[in-house]
Amino acid sequence: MWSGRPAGWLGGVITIDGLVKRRGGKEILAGIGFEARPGRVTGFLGPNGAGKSSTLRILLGLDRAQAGTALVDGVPYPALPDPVRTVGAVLDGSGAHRSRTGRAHLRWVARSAGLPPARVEEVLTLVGLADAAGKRVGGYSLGMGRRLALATALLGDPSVLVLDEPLNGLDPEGIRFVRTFLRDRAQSGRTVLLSSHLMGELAETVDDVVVIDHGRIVAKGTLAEVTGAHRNLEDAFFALTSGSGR
Amino acid sequence: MRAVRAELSKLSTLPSVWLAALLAVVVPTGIALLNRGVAGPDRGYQELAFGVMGVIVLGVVAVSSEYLAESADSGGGRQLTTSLAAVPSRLRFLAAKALAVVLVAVPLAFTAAAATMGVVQARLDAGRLAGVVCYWTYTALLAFAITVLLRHGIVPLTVLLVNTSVVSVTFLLTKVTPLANYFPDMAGVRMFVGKVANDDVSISPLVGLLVMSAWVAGLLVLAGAVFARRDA
Amino acid sequence: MIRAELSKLVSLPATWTTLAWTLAANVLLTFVIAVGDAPVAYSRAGFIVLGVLATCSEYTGGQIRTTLTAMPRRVRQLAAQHAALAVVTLPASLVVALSGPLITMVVAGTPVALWQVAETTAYLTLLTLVSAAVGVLLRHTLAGVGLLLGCLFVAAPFVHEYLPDDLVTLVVSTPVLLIVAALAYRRRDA
Repeated sequence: MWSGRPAGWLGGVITIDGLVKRRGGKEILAGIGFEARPGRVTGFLGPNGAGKSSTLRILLGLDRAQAGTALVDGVPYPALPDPVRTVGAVLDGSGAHRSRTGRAHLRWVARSAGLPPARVEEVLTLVGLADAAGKRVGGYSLGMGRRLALATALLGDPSVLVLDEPLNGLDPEGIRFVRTFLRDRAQSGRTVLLSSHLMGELAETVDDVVVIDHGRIVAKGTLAEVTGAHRNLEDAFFALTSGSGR
Repeated sequence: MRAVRAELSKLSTLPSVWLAALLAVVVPTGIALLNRGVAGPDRGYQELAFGVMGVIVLGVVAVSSEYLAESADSGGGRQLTTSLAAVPSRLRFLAAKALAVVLVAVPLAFTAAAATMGVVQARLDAGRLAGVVCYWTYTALLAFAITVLLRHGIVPLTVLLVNTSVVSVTFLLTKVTPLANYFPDMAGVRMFVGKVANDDVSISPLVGLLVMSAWVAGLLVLAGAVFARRDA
Repeated sequence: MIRAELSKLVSLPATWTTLAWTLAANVLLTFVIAVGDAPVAYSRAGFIVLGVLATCSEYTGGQIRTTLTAMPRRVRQLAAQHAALAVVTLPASLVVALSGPLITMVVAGTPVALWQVAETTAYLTLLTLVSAAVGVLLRHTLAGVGLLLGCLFVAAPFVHEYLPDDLVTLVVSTPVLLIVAALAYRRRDA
């Protein structure tokens, strides 16, 4: 697709191919594949239990797939030379031990990537947690925990952001913040891959859409392509995943 | 009674409770097997005194499981919130839980005693066996009450398990002051162990029972009072 | 990577509470019941708790996901974690190992047996590392602490005659358990 890298190219192509995951005899992923490209927000949509989180966990090297590959710039995540600066991940919850303070949590992640402590203060301000940084994570609200997870992901100013249900547990202001923020990231040439089961919330944010149901990809393409003849993304989604029990 | 039934079903669905049950039977019989060569009037009873590990685990996890934060995936909540929504009266909740622990501990003690006595083939003595069951149940309740007070299982588990060692800390303390004989475990074992190694204070089984009962009752009341007052 | 793991360990309040209580218990026991390093037989429980906590705390609040996304090479991360733990434990073991004999020296005038202090320090450090490895395998703090304490305090006295010296047993079992833990850690889903 690219003939040589243009100036300012940050990299960050996510390529997923033929992923198969079985757990306890149950097939969770049945050979899924798609791509997320720089400069675009890719929405990974599907009902609860469709296999979204499993896919993202395999992409991040947290879970193992029985077959298939999930690569970032052609490299499996665990082999990335500098993971924190390449990919930022926001999974469920805060991803922090509850008896540590928010600042202490970010500090150890920063140390693992050799980032200066000043960067910790920057991301704390960026997500609006500067005032709560000295508090234990156990005392955080759901929304604050999510902001801490986002701050962790942004520490290395990575070229790829992977977010699992980023809007869960956020108040309207938080949702607005995350949406604008993700658009800005894509605008600056970075890759954003986010999963969600909330269609309405996403239509204005995503460029590309991948729809998964029962461990299979049922549609992928640009927002316009997937929406197709349907009234909106939500209608298209229910048409594509009808009979899945949602 | 519904609350007790709910607590029983909670206990029976905790894997660690099944592990505790296994330990309760395996530990004293195992010790008895390894100790086969040793003879004496306290054969079997001695092993049952050391083998209380299982009921300690039972008492601790019955409470600590309520305070354990679930994984972030399920919202990071504590089961206690659900429990108190179902049984809003704190004292009734705690009483139901304690009763459920007793209902599990008693048959466990019987099973363990039967298995251990089977191994050592000692003459059975109903009074002493009642003492064993009582000691085991009380130990579970002690672990239970201390965990309620601390809201965390590690400390009571560590302290109580360390103290089940053959030469227990409380036993060593008796060398410093005879008062240490009135610690719950030291007093409680008198219910069924005739001779606690080179002891110089003689406590009758009845006094032992009374002393340990007082400890358990006191700690349970304290745990109840604290639990009723503090935020869940 | 070791610095990240160190800062993780150091910012965990439980690390300090455990060490403080262990030292306090050791000093108290020295005064009350025994002389020299005998109380270590009991206060080693604190080091077991420390080791298990160090690895099991990963599984609180989903921190393991943050850890493995930041440091995806698992075996190296685990090695760094154990190295950091050793860095914290070694001085702590030394303090605990010294406290008993020092008190005895002040009170009774018995000289401190340096060789024995060194042996105790090594024992406590290795015990902490073994506990950490068990923590990795079990992923559950209470289970790890229960299992190790059960082995050491309940079972060990009865099988003692079949085993070599405590320290020798540990020197052999530490690398074995570490390798088993690393293999399991590398293979399984986080």
